[in-house]
Amino acid sequence: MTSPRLSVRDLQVTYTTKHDEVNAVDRVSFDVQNDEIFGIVGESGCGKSTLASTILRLLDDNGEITGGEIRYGDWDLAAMSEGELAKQIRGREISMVFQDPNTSLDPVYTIGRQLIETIRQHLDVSKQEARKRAIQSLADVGIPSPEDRLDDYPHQFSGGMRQRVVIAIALSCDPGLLIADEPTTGLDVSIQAQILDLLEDINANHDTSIILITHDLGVVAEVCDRVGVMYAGNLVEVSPVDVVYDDPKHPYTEDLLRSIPETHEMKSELTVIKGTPPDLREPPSGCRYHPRCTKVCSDACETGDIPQEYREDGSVVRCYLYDPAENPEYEGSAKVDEGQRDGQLESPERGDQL
Amino acid sequence: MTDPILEVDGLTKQFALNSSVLSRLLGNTRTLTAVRDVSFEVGRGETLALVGESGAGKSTVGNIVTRIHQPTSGAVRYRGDDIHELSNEGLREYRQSVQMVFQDPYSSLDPRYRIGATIAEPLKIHTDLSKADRRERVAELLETVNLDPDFADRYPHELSGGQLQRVSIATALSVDPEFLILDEPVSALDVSVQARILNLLMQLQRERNLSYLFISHDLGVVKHLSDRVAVMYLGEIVEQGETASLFERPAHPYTEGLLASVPQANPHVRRRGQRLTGEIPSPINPPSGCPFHPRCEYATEECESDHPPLESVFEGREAACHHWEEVSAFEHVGEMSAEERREAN
Ligand SMILES: Nc1ncnc2c1ncn2[C@@H]1O[C@H](COP(=O)(O)OP(=O)(O)OP(=O)(O)O)[C@@H](O)[C@H]1O
Ligand SMILES: Nc1ncnc2c1ncn2[C@@H]1O[C@H](COP(=O)(O)OP(=O)(O)OP(=O)(O)O)[C@@H](O)[C@H]1O
Ligand code: SF4
Ligand SMILES: [Mg+2]
Ligand SMILES: [Mg+2]
Repeated sequence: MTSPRLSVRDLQVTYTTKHDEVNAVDRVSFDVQNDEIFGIVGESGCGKSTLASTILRLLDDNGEITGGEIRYGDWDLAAMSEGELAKQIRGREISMVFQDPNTSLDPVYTIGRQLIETIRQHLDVSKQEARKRAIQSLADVGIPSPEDRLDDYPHQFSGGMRQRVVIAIALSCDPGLLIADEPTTGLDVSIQAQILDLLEDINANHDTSIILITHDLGVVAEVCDRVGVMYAGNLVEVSPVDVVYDDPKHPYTEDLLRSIPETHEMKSELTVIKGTPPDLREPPSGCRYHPRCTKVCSDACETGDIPQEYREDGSVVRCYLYDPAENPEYEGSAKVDEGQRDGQLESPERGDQL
Repeated sequence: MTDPILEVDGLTKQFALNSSVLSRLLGNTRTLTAVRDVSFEVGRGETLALVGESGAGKSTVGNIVTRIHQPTSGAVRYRGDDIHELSNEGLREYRQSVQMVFQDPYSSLDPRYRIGATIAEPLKIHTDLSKADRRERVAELLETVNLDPDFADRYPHELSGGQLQRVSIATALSVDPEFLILDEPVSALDVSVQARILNLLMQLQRERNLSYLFISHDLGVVKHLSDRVAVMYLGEIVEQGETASLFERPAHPYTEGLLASVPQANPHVRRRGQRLTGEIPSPINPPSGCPFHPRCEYATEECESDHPPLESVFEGREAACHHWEEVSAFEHVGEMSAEERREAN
């Protein structure tokens, strides 16, 4: 097997605020394959955007990587110098669509100028050629009459149009990995469909792997190959997309799917997951989902330090239900992976698909 | 519908775009018509959903109703009074009873203020609660939107997108409004937290008879909680009617396409029906005749030259299409029933 494009191992991220520490990403491991669109879903505030900004080392000033590796090619992005990251990685190898479109757009410059500058930073082309490409990339994300709108400022675009400009900028440098954080949030279905087609197209034809963060399970179902489900800073399940919908492994994934409005009568009360989202300053002991979980199977759920991920039909799950030692009713196929002890890094070269 | 609380009448909004220095010197300014002759009503205790493609003019309508933008022409009446002709006292009341949750949670909160101060601001203006009471009310509001009361001490940049969005909702609810304009209020929330917020909105509506103008791209959500839907295309309302009936039997080809484009939260269900295709025309230079004709499957010569007016086509439905009869006769497959979905599995 060829080695994955991106390999994240035991990643840990902590924000320090005046009063306390927020453990926003906790021992997260996953791979993104070369030809893959990898989805990340999870509750609001569970650490998805933090994980995304960590990969490019664009965390807020008070955030810090407190453990783990981020392998991209021969680099460990977690340990690389700031200078090298800026020169080699950001906007070249890896580009990012931030959840907040204002991060990437400067209100004092026109849309056209910002796009053209990005293009010229990355490609050795004339101003005219860059302008032509800028117009094309705006057309690709469905901006009507792009040539008429290059001279407009960001505030003159609608919310969804700004979002699409950000996508256009991220794609204009032909990255090896695109991290898109809620890129279609708030976009109507037809534009969304167009953006998703565009992502599938660059994934298939430009050798760009994609990490797609979204809360929209419809989007995930439509374009992702595999999905990582996050809960309270942990990656609790990584599964092929159809497994997530047909036979979710982790109780949280299962509960999440029950809240979709389409499965309810009109105007009826929607199913919610009982309890409140955990406070990441003092995350629950044991499995972080246990206070809300309906399937707690052993004391370990409340106190244990889930040591490994469990493997189950092509999925990786962080849940004691799949541990024969903890769950007497377990009858499936999970094996505890010997090679991967707590805190010990698995070498990505093993090519193990996480 | 009960007597309307909000009436929007013939609203049009044009923006002047600044062009390059050269064209400005030559005197070529361009105008963009973001909203064109839009009329609708929202009844007391009712939810009207406003849907339509990105750039269709939805937020502009919301911004006019909250008086952020002045309309180029047309009027907005709230409880019968023109909102641009209110007395000082009337204006103060209007600002309290009509609240908006803005589309972009990142730029609608002031980064310099702690969350608690942001939520307490309207309380300071519109109520005479003591400082301690305000603090208590803020804690309560945070809990109703499923956030820990400790968030009051944090700054916006320390919050995730969905957390910010819920702070905006808490702020809008702080002074017991009776009309809420919700511009994509749950777009950044996962389905479970979203479900809580939608339950909260439906509960408030039942208890206090609130009215909502609900702008959303999420047709699943729209279908779940709105009473009526207005569909906008290129600044105009092209179809309007009761939710269930409109989803079942759209009478405008654009609505039909919109419904067919909804992604399904199930990898085995691929979209059925005709997805929308073609480019959205520019609002600076809209097509002749029916604005949808360049993308329309049903278009004929008439569509290229004559602008179809929005008119009543059958009981409880208005549509602006020359061929609405043909469209609404078609067996619609935009969504599968729960049963069909189960079968597909
Ligand atoms: N700069 C910061 N300082 C302190 N805490 C922070 C900071 N940024 C984020 N957080 C906290 O870290 C957690 C993870 O935030 P993150 O933005 O990664 O969530 P998310 O999964 O992207 O959520 P959403 O779906 O709502 O965007 C949240 O609980 C948030 O409040
Ligand atoms: N201040 C402004 N100056 C110039 N043009 C504007 C301004 N605000 C909005 N527009 C234009 O008006 C049109 C409608 O914008 P609006 O924000 O109302 O769309 P929308 O339906 O809310 O779209 P979205 O779903 O993307 O938020 C767009 O073409 C936009 O570029
Ligand atoms: S009027 Fe004609 S072009 Fe417009 S939507 Fe109807 S059929 Fe299509
Ligand atoms: Mg986020
Ligand atoms: Mg908008």
